[in-house]
Amino acid sequence: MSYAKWARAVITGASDITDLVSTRVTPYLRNRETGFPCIVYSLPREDLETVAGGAVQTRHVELQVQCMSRSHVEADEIAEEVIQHVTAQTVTDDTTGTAIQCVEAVRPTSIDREFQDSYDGSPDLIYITTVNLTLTGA
Amino acid sequence: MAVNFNGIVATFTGPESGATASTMAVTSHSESGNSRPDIDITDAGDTTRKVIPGLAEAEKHTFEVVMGSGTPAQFKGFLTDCDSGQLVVAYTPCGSETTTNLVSIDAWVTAFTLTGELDGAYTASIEFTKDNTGS
Repeated sequence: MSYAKWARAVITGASDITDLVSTRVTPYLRNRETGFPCIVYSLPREDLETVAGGAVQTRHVELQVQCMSRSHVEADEIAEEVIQHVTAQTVTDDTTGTAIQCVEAVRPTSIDREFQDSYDGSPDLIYITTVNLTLTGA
Repeated sequence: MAVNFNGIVATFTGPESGATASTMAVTSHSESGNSRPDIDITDAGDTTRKVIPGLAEAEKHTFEVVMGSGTPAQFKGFLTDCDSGQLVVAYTPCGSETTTNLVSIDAWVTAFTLTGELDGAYTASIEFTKDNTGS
């Protein structure tokens, strides 16, 4: 079971998202070898519902998807595609066909917007629209 | 894997011929009733109180929902129905094609309260009472 695999598989499996960001999808840090637009995703926290015997029954996972672009509008467009396509589903291993992770419910909870100064002298800023989602699964 | 509220879908199908199912955008669900009152059968020689349970109260389900287009009129219409409709609360377990019905009963809509406020979504509280007349 891996929410990290789930997040990557779902984001990179949606053609509406990859049409915008191509393969520029990385966990936690932007790949500085490549340009924009891109997506950086992170899973900063899980809340576990655990019964007296210690077995974890349900997990609530925070997923943050940062959509980065040189254009404010494009960053928002990517974020909208994330909201549309990061939905409840089971992700399976391409090789074995076994389930890697099933997420039963996805709730987009908020969007944060910010910008960073250009690091390369470009007159265009780096716009970041972050979609915060809560995943629920086993 | 525990059943999780996030994955539930609640639907009410009205009793009228051709009535369409109304799927509710549920934010919370509670069930009440299901309690049996004490009937006191203590007599003078007893040293402790004796009770037997009476008949259970009718089952009631209350949902808080965010209203979508058209649904307020639908649910207000259900308030005038004499026959009960069908309430289904379904959940699809993780990785399974089988949908489990957590609730599947004949019920009336017995209360509908619509509220809204500035900068808020219109929300409604809908109460269903189980139809036990056929049992």
